[in-house]
Amino acid sequence: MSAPLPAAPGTGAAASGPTADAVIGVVGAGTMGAGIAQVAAWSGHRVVLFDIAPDFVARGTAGIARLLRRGAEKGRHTPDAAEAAIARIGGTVALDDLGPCGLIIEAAPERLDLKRDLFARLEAVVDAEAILATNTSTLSVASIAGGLARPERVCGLHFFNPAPLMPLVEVIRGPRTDPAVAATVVGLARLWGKTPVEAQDRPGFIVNRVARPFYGEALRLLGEGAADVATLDRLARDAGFPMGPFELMDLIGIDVNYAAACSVYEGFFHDPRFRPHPIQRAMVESGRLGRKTGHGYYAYPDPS
Amino acid sequence: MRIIILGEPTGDLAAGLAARLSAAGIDVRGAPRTVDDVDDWAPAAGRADAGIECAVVDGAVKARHVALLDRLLPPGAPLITCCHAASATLTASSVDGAARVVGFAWLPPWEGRATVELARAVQTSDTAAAAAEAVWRAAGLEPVWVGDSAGLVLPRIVACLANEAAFAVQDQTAGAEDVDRAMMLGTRYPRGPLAWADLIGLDHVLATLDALAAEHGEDRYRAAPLLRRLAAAGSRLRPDLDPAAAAGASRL
Repeated sequence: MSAPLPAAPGTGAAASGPTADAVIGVVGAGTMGAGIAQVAAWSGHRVVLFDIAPDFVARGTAGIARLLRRGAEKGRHTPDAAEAAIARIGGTVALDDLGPCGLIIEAAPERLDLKRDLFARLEAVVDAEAILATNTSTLSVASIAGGLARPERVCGLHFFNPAPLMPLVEVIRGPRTDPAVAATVVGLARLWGKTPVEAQDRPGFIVNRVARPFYGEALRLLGEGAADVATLDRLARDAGFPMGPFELMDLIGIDVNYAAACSVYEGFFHDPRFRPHPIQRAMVESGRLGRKTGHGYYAYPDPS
Repeated sequence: MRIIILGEPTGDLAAGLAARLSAAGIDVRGAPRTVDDVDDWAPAAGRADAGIECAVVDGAVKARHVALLDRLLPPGAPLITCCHAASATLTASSVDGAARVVGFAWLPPWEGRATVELARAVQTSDTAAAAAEAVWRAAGLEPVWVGDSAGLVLPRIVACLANEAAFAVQDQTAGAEDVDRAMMLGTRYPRGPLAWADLIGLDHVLATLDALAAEHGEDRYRAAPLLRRLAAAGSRLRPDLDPAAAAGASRL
C-alpha cells in the first residue's frame, strides 16, 4: 500500500519551517485526515497520508480521488487538475515515510495517550525544523506537546468538517509553541485558500467553545417546556442561523456534540456555563444519535 | 388599527417596531424614546387597539410604561410587554389589569424577520392572547407562542452566545474580530456574536443576562465583566465596525 514518494523540490525550509513546496504529512485517513490531505494536495503539495492499516489508507485515498473526479465531472475544475492532485498523494502505513515532511497534521482518534505516543514517534522521524500540528478539537496542545523534546514545534491546526469546503481553520498556540511556528502555519493555511484565525490553547478553542450556548440554551428551553424542537429550530432559522440547534445536533451527531460539550465542561473545571444537559445524555444512551442512526431529535426514515 | 408604542431612551426596539407596523398600514402613536410627552399621545391611547411597551434596560421605566398603559388603554385592549429582560408574568404582576398582559420578544436585526415570539403570563386571558396575536398578524409577523421566561427564546440564546464570545475575548483566547470571523466561517452564524451584541445594544444584552441570572439564580448567566464594563461605558465589543451600520433603526 505504501506508495513511493518522490522527493519534493527544494524542501529547504527556512528557519520558520515549511514553505509552499514542503511535503505535507497527514496522520489518520478518516474523514478529517482525507479532507486535509485533499486540501494540501490540491494546493500543490506532495502529501503523505498515513494510517495504521492498508485498508484505512486505501479508503482515504480512494475517497479523495472520488471527490476530486466528481468535482471535475461537475465542471468545478479540469480532469487534469484532479488527476494531478490525486497523483500528489501517496499513502503509507510506515511512519518512517513521513520523514521528509516539513509539516505533519495529525487527525487521529481523540485519545491523549495515543496522540502523545504518536507525536513522540513523529518527532523522531522528522527534521528538527519540521512542524507537528494536531487537528484535535477536544484535547489541549499543551497536553499533546508536553512530553516532547521540541514542544515549540507543535501547534494546533483545527479544520472544520468537511475540510475541503469549510473556509475556517483555527491555528492554536500552546503555551510552549514558538510564535514563528504559528505564523508559518497561518501563512500556509492562507496559501491553501483557508481563512486562519489564531487562538490560544483554551478548551474548545474558539468555535467549539463559543457555540456551546446555542445548543445548551436551546436544550434548557426544551427541558423547561418553553417550546418543542421544531419551534425552537424555526425561531433560530428566522433569526438567520442556517440550521436550528436541534437539526444541527442531528447532523453533527448527538454523541459527537455531547462529547464536545463534556470536553469543554471538563476543560473549564465544571464552570456552569458549559454544563451539558441531561437530555443530551439520554439521547446518547437511548441510541438516538441523529441522522446517522435514522433518529435523533427528528426521525429520518432513510438513514444515510 | 391603532397601536400605542412606548420605548426607552437607549433602545431602538420601539422605533424599529413602529417602522414595521407603520409600513403595514397601522396607525402608530406613542413615544419611542421617552414617555415624558405623555399628554401628546395619551388622548389617542383611549381609542387604541393595543399598547406595546418596549423597555428592556430600565426596570423603573418599564414599571411606569405598564402602569400608564394599563390606566390609559381601553378595557379589552391587550398590553403587550417586551420580555427581553423580564418574564410576562413578572410584568403582569405589577398592574391591576394583569389578565390583559401578553409578552413578546423581537430581536434585531428585524429586516426580513417573519416571526415574533409571544408568551402568556400566568394571568393572561384567552381574549388578550387572541387580541395580541391579531396585532402581530396585522403587522405581517407570524406569532410563535413560547413558554414565559426572561428573554424567551432568541434574546436568551443570542445573549448567552454574545456573553461567551465576550468571555473568550476577555480571557484572550482570541481577538474580537477573530472570534466573530470564526463563528461566521466555522459554524455559519449569520453574524458574529460580538457584532450582534453591539447591534442589539450592550446594555440590552446585559439586561437579558442579568434577568436570566436573577430568574434562574445560576452562575451560568453571569455576565462577562468585559461586557458589563463596555456597556457601562457606552462602548462596543467591535469598535472597528461602523456604528451606523449597527444602529439601523428608523424613528417613530
